[in-house]
Amino acid sequence: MYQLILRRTGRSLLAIIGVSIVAFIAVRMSGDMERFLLPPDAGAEDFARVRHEYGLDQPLYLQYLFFIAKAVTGDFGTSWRWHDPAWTVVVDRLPATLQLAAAAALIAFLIAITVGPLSAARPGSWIDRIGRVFAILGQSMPAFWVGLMLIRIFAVDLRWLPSYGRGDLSNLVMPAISLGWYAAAAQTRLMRSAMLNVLDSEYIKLARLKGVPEFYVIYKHGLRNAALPVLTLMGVQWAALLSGSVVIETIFAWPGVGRTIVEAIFNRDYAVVQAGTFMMSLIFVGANLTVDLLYGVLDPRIRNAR
Amino acid sequence: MSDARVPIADASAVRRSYRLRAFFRLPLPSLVILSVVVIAALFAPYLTPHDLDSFDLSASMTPPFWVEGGSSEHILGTDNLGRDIFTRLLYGARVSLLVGFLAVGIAGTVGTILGLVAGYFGGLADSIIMSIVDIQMSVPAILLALILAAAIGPGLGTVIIVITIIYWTFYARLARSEVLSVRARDFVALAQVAGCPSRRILFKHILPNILNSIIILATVEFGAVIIFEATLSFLGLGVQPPTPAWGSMLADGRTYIATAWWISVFPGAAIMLTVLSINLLGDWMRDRWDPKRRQV
Repeated sequence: MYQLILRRTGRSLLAIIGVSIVAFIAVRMSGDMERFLLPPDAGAEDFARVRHEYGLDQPLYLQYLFFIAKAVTGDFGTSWRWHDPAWTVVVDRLPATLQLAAAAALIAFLIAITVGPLSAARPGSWIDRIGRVFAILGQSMPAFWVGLMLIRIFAVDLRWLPSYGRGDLSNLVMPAISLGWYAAAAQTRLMRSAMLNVLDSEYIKLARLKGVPEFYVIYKHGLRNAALPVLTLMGVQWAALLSGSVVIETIFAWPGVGRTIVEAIFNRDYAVVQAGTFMMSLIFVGANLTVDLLYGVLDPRIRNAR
Repeated sequence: MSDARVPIADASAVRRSYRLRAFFRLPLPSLVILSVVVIAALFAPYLTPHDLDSFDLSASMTPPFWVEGGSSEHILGTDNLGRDIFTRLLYGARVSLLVGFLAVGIAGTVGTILGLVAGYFGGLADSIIMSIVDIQMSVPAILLALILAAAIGPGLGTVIIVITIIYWTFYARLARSEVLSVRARDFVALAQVAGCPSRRILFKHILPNILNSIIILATVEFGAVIIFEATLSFLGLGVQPPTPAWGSMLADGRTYIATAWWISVFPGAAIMLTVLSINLLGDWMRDRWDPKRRQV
C-alpha cells in the first residue's frame, strides 16, 4: 500500500512539474515580456533595466527555478487587469467553479441512478430506448451548443430561467445541466451495463425466488454491486467536469476560474493564465490521485499490484 | 436467430447469410450523412450560388426560407453581416474534416509508433514513453490547449498541433497493450529466431495484427476531435475569421440567440449530425471487428 501511495504521489508531482514547465515556456514564447511593461518610447537602457529587474537576462533554467520558487509560495505576480495578486484573483473565483461542477455531478448521478437500473431491468422497453438515444446524443452534442439551446428555450422563449450570471438556484440550473449532460450519458451507459451483469448473478435470482419485491431486488441488492464502477467513473469525471466548466462558464457568464482564464488569455494577462492553469491542474491531479488511492483501498488486487 | 435453421453442411449458405446480415446492419443513415459532409467539403464552391466572402448588410439576419420573412435566396438564412449560412456551413465542413483527418492521422501515427516501440522493446524506452503518457493524461486537455493556443497564437495550425499533442497518448496506450499480447505469440518468436530485424517484426508482423483496434479507436476519436476543434473555435482560439468553422459560427450566433436562432442552431446541428454518424459508425465497426470490446 505504501508503495502504491509513493508511486502515485510521485507521478502526480511529476505531472505538476510538467504543467509548470509548459505554463512557464508558454508565457515566454508568447512574446517579449518587457514590451508589455514599458511605454512604446522607452530607450534601450530602459529595456536592459527592466530585463535585469525581472530576471529576464538570466539563463532560462534559472528563470524557471525563480518562477517555481515563487509559485510554491503562491506568488504568480500581479494581474495587470485586476490589480490584484494573480493567485488571489483565481482563488476568489474557485467557489463558483466548484459549485457548478458539484451541481453538474449531482445531476449526472441522479439521472444515471434512475435511468440506468430501470433500463437494465427491462432491456428493450421504452425507457431503455429513450436512455440509449439520450446516451448516444449526449456523446455527439458539444456542451456549449446544449447550453445555447437551453438558453434559447428556457430563457428566451419560456422566460423561466435567467440566461447568465450567478445568483440563486435558478441561475445554476442551465449551466449545471449543460455541463453534466455528457457525464450523465456516460454514467447511464455504464450503470446500465453494470446492472445487467449484476442482475444475471445467482444471488439476484435467489432474492427473486424468495419473493423479494422487484423494487428492492434492483435498488437494494443490485445497485450496491453495480454502483462501484459508476463511482469510479464519477471520480474520473469530477476532474473532467472541472475542466469542462471552462466553456460552460464562458457561455453563461458564470464568474468562475475557467472563464477568468479564457478572458485572461485574450487580455494577455499572463500572470492570471499561469495561476489559473496551475490551480486547475492541482485540483485535477489531486482528484485523480484521490481516485487512484481510494481504488487501492477498495480493491486489494490493485493495492498489491507491482 | 435465423442461422440456427441453416444446415451446417452448407457452409457457403452460412457465409452468405452472415454477409447479408452484416450488410443490412450497416449504419446506412450514418454513411449517407458522412458522404454529404465530405461532398460539401470537397465541392463547396459548386453547391451554392453565393460567394464565401460576399455579404449584404441590407439582408442581415434573414431567417430561413420556411420562416416568415425568409427568402429562397438564403435557404438557411443569413447571419448578422448578411452572409449566407448555408454557404458558410459548406465551407465550415472543410475545417472540421481537415482538422479531423490531419490531427487523427498525425496523432495516430506518432502514438502507434511510440506504443509499438514501448510495448516491443520494454525497458527504458517503455518507462520513458509511458511516463510521458501518464503525466500528460493527468493534465486537463482543455487547459493544455488554452496554454498552447495562448503561446503559439490561435489558428488552424495551432489547433492541429494542440489536438495531436493531446490525442497521441490514447494510441500509444492502446498500441502498447496490444503489442504486449501479440508479442507473446509463436509467430513473433519464430521471426526472432529466424533473425528477422526488429523493425521488420514490428511493422510487418505485429502492426498488421493490431491495426484493427487502432483504426476503430481512430474512428471513435474522430468525432471527439471534431467536437474539440469546435470548442476551440468557439472560444476564439481556433481558425480565425473570416474563414468559417462550425464552432466559430456558433460563437457568432451566441449574441443573437434571442433574435436570430438560426445562426447558432444550424452549425450546432451540423456538428451533432456529423459526430453522431461517426460515433454510430465506430460502434458498428467495434461490434463487427472487435467483439472483445463490444458494448452490452
